[in-house]
Amino acid sequence: MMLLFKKVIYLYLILVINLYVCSYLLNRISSRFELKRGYTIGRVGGLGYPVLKLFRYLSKNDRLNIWEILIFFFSFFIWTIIPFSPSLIIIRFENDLIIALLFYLVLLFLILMNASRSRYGFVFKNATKNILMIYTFFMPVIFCIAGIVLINRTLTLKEIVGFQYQYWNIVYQPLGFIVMFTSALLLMKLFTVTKKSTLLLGQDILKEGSGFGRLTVRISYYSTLFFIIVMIIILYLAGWQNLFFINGNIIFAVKFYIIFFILVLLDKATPQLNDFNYLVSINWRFLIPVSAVNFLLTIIFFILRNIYGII
Amino acid sequence: MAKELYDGIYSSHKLVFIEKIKKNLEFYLKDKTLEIKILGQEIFCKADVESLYEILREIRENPELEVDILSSINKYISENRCIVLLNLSSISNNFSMLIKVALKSPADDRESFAAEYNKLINEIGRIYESAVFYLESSTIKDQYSDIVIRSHIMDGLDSFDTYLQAEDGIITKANISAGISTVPIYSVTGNIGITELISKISRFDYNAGIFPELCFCLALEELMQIKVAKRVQFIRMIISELMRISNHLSYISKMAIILGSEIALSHVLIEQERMLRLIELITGSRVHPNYIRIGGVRKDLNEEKLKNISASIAQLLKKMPKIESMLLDNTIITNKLKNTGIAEKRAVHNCGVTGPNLRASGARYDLRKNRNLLLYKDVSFLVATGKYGDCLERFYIRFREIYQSITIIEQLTDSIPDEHIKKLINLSELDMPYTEMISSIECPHGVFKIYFEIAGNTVLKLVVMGPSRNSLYLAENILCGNRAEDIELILASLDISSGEIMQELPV
Repeated sequence: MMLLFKKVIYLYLILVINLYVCSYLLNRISSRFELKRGYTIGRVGGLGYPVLKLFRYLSKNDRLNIWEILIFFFSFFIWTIIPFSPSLIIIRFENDLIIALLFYLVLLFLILMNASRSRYGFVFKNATKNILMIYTFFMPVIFCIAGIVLINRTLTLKEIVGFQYQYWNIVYQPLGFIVMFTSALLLMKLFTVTKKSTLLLGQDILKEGSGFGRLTVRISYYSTLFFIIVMIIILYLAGWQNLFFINGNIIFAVKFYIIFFILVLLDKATPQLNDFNYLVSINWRFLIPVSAVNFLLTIIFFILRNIYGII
Repeated sequence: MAKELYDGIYSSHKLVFIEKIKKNLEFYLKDKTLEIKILGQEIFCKADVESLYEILREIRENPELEVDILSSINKYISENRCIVLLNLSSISNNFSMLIKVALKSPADDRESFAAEYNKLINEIGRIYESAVFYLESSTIKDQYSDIVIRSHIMDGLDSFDTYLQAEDGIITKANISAGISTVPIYSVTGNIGITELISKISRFDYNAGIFPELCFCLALEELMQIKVAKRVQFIRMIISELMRISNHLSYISKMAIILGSEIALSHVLIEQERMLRLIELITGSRVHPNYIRIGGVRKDLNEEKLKNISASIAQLLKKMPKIESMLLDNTIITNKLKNTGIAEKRAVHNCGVTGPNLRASGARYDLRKNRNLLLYKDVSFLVATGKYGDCLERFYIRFREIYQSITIIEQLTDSIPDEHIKKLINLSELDMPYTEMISSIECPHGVFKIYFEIAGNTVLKLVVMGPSRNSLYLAENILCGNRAEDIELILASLDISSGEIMQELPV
């Protein structure tokens, strides 16, 4: 019992530190990009800014609703399945990859439902459009994961990481990695961790007050982003495997921040994508065909090696 | 000898061909008009309501006149009579004319007066289709439109309501009503002293406030036949080009917000700040400069200021290609802009649009070149033109104009003559007979034209014919066939200034 408690404490400590560092980095990068100026501590990109922002959220009166409470609960609960390191798994399943994906889908669903109940908003007019869009972004991700599963012949995340002790999966599945990464970038653009999304939440979201509910939504955005980064690291970049003599946990953190940094850079360097048709065209012209081709190649490879024994 | 000749020529004497056109008009419209005369560089004509239709048909169909554009229709009330001003222009003959018509019914009786006005407009509409836009009581109603965009929703486009009908997200019919901009502005438009008006007239264009002032002062100089010193002309050109750059930068920043490019936005804002500081250094104010005086300017430029200008301009020239590549080397942005809101050359002409929006469609028309405005003849620059007239072209042409303005300023600061500017007139002793005057200038949005009546020391009536009203009418036409998501982009790409749309509320 004490061990479990210790694990939970560790996990949430990591999450909170991660949230702080990521929001600090994000503000820092965006302020460098946008040439913002101001006083050191209070300004965007200062060390105290995330804390100040937290206090600002907490100081506002805001009535919580059921979706926000569920989101808050779930955005932390999702991490009980997905491991940061081999010993930090709280709930053990045999096929935890599927459970993780299910949890992720539920989190997306909750975020969308919260967006739909928006007080001022437009929402149901375009909600169906947005739901369709986010779930179509989910399709290429599923294709890629299926390819990985075919190669490693397992549904357990720990075993997938273990399989990569010699060669990382990115060597076998470069196309899959590109698709996953692009999809992460587009999801980041959709949720716009860097900005309030007018596409997803409507023009009137800018008028909405910022209270505890807003904080939970923001945490959930970060959570989805962390989820997809962690998935990329585990599936393609050998997770917590030691690199030469360096400890696996440190390598994991380094990979995490490098990917986060590249994602934020790309997000800042490209303009906001608030055009529904353009996003859908990216999805149908690039992501889905590439991921399907990747999946087909993997199947052919699998059949030739395992059934006919040619390769 | 050449210099003496040059100095002796007033701007009004430079255009001799106007006389020719006036003679033609007098010949063809001998019995129909009450009066034809030349005001400034334009032709002014008075007519009756009954003979208006015949006059319009004659000038439209006569191959020697070929007046084929209706630029604007303005109305105002003086001595309980409603007076309608028709602003017409011809592409092939390169002249413009103003027709003044007085309606018969008194302005007190609102209903009969509105009915007569609408009847007149409908009659004009048989010859010029674009007259329909100026109908008094519009038939637009909320219930007939699918999407209604109120004036406060879009940032920077807060002077009109947009009513749209759409099918599957594609706009089939668009109506724009600028009724919200009909405001009581009597304190500026009637019975106002000349000095007071010079300080207040910049309200009609808050993005580039120097141009209304310059337009008004040029008109008065024309009336008084004042010879303006060369140094003054140079200073006026420098400040107006700076204002043009500032306006275009603010336009680019607006577009960057809509396109979602935050990095470009912050860079553009810094450059605009630099320009505004320069303008503040020269004039003492950012928005309403109050800088131009009749026959001169309020403050001379000293050596230090000139150095400052050339240093800032050099910095701007370094930064502009960076900003341009941020915005236009990006396929996401160019895909969005390309083929949206296409305005063909013919349609743009019919709407009476001028300025960069016209040039983006392929017409090479710029008052700086076509008429001898200030001393633009002395500097070498190209008039930037586009080809396709879509949003991308309209966006791109602003960058080209900024580069042209930079080259103009560089030339001017290098060759500004050293002259002593002395005070020419004393406004307190001014006493003019009753006259009417028209004047126009190339402002960043298009051709800014004013008509005023003056007597003694006061302006009795001022009518502003800004180019943004034409852009609104163009927007009505080009919105159809585009997606509903692109409304804001298309409207912003036309650079509509709220001040120019402002109309006097009829009493």
